[in-house]
Amino acid sequence: MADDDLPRTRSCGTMPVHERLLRTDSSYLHARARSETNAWEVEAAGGAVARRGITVIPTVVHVVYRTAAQNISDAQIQSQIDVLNRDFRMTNADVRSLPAVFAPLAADARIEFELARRDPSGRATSGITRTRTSAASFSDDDRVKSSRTAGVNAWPSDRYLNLWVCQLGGGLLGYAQFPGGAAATDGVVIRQSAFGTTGTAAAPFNLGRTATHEIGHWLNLRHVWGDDGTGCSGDDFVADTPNCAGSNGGIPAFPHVTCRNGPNGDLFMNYMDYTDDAGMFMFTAGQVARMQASLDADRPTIGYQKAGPKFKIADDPITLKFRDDIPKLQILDQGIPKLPAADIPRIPIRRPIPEILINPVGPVAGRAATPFVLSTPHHSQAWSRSFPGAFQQQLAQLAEQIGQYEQVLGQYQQAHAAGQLAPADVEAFGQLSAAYGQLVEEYQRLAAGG
Amino acid sequence: MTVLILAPETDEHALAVAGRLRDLGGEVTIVDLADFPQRASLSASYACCADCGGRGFALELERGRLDLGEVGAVWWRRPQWPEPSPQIADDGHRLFAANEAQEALSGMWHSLDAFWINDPARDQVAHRKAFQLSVAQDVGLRIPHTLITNDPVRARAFVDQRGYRAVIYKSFSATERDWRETRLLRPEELELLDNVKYAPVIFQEYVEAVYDLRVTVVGEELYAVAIHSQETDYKVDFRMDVARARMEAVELPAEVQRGLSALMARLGLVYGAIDMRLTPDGRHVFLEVNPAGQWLFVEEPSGQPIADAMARLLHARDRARRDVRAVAVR
Ligand SMILES: Nc1ncnc2c1ncn2[C@@H]1O[C@H](COP(=O)(O)OP(=O)(O)OP(=O)(O)O)[C@@H](O)[C@H]1O
Ligand SMILES: [Mg+2]
Ligand SMILES: [Zn+2]
Repeated sequence: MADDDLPRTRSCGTMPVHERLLRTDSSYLHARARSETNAWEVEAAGGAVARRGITVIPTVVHVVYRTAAQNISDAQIQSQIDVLNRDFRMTNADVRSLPAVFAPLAADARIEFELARRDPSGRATSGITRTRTSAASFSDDDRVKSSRTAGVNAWPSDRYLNLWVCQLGGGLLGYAQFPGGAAATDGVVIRQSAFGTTGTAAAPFNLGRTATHEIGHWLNLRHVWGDDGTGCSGDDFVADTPNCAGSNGGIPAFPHVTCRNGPNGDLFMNYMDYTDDAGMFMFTAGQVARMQASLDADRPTIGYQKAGPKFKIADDPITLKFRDDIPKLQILDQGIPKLPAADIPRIPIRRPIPEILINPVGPVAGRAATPFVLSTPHHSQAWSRSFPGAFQQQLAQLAEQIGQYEQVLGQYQQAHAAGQLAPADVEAFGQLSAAYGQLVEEYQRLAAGG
Repeated sequence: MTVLILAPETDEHALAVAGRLRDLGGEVTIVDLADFPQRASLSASYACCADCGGRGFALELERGRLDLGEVGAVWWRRPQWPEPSPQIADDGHRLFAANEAQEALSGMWHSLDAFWINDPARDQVAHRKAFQLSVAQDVGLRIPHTLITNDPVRARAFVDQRGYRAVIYKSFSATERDWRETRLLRPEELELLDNVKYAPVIFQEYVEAVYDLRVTVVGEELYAVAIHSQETDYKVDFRMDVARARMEAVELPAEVQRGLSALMARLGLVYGAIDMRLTPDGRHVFLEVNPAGQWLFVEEPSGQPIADAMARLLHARDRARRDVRAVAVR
């Protein structure tokens, strides 16, 4: 395909789109102001957000193609969803290559994506639409988002994340619309050769990170360098990303010092920089707080919260790590941050525990019980000094657990109000509430001491 | 011949030992089992009888082929789970693929004619805390009074008998998400003892300490370090404030050394990192042995050449295999 010159460097159209909307759409301007005020207030309040669990976002992928190759396969689409589910849950393997000094910054964004199972009218769907177009390529002018301009219309953006996949011209890899714009154009556009990890995905943008980056924008994240050319005065409105000069491309060598940010330099491993896919692999806690604040304020109706704690070990055998010394984090075993005393787990040479034993199908009451050792709090926070990375992770996990408890408790409360709880359920409700109280206390204690 | 280390390529302990092995003139390969089956392949081939070709085992790694017949010593350092391809969309199918890779690999390890630190089968049995306590008691080591139970009534009786102030409780293991340090039972926690029914708990008498001990055993060599946990912010579990604990090399009484050697022999371990406490009345109390425990955190402050000992042992045994084979061929 001679007509397809593959991009060699990253370029994203979100800021030009942002500037266009600021000029042309006065309600966008006001919505942006509201959104920033909210983000600022959340930050000032220490990052308190409403959704403390995991938000799952129904996603529709609109494939808009002219050539057969551009009509990318379901497998390529699924590979992109899989990447998102790793990157936004910090389960991507490459986060281990983060230099130790930055390790405490990395955070789980607590967002997952699934291909929509129902279309806007409630019918079953694969979450994928396919539209043949006459356009040779698209740009950042939103034509791909309307059937009148050879594209395809968005699904309601208060319920779905719209991902358009098409041929983009001018070396553009993708672009997003920040929260606050028109619903008809809300969503993210990605060049087909930068989407997913298989099929037409082409190096060096074949690890699905363009979508991670653009969805970061869609959830209100700015570029880490602050979009001020190569100056040191631009801000991404996130406190924990180091100030840096311009964008970083390719795969830079660590450290890259600019804007007096030595010795550690730029956080070029961040998804919101401009490196190749293989060079970016983390969001910071501050960015997570900003995305979560944006979900609360700008996209309150999107997605659903995942109910009930899900045991990691049920997912796949790789996370089956029992036995050893504290804190047993595989990520940490890779040397970031150092856990000198940790006798980190070995593979138990045996079959993984059958999923059914761990996730029994049954009433919600089954969740109220907690094993004794876990029903009592940590007795010391001394470890937060020795293992700062593990400490951050623990805080994040506690917050997630608390969110899950709130979900389940909410269900109990409703059932209770409707008089639907049997005596055994009421007892479970009580136990669950007590466990919840303890978690909150522990969280507060940890957060205050660490 | 070559030494094989099974660990992620970034594992500090593996790298330290590999470096020393090369200094000694040995060959060494670090293999990360997480590379299977995506980035590496294995093949185990068997002829129809022993005399008509026998069998051969090989790994095909990104950096080339490794004939496992050439491996004289293996260090089972930090084997990872095989990682199935993310292209397999179905979770159940991924689990299946991982299990299959795991089965093929572990059967192959058991077939190797090599010296192991530690033999995977031994390692797997030896790390069980409930078993370690039995063996420790048998070889004459001092251990804490212990009750392992999921019966709340018995747990309560154990606590009542010695008073909650003198009882610690701890778990066998942990997951990424949920772990707890060793803790002294608090009065308000007594009310929750019923939760013991959901999973067995280790209750032990609290062993007062002059200091904690980490004893690293490498073959016949034994390196003891005092960890001054009582000078840190958490006295019940040395790991909690380990970054600030003072450490120094110490000598163990001959009788304790004999006990630990006997323990290692009974467990079939060549290497182990042992946790103990020295009590104010001079007793050495055994807590556990970690068959894959780390040592660099004691090697640095104490100056003990533990990585060196590990490399020397692997090298010597790798050489010994070569000599044996050379004789057999002749
Ligand atoms: N009975 C006890 N009395 C006093 N302190 C104890 C006792 N048991 C454990 N400890 C303290 O807690 C630390 C950790 O306990 P232990 O080594 O038994 O388990 P662990 O390290 O959690 O096990 P693993 O390495 O298998 O995860 C000990 O090194 C010691 O400091
Ligand atoms: Mg221990
Ligand atoms: Zn961008």
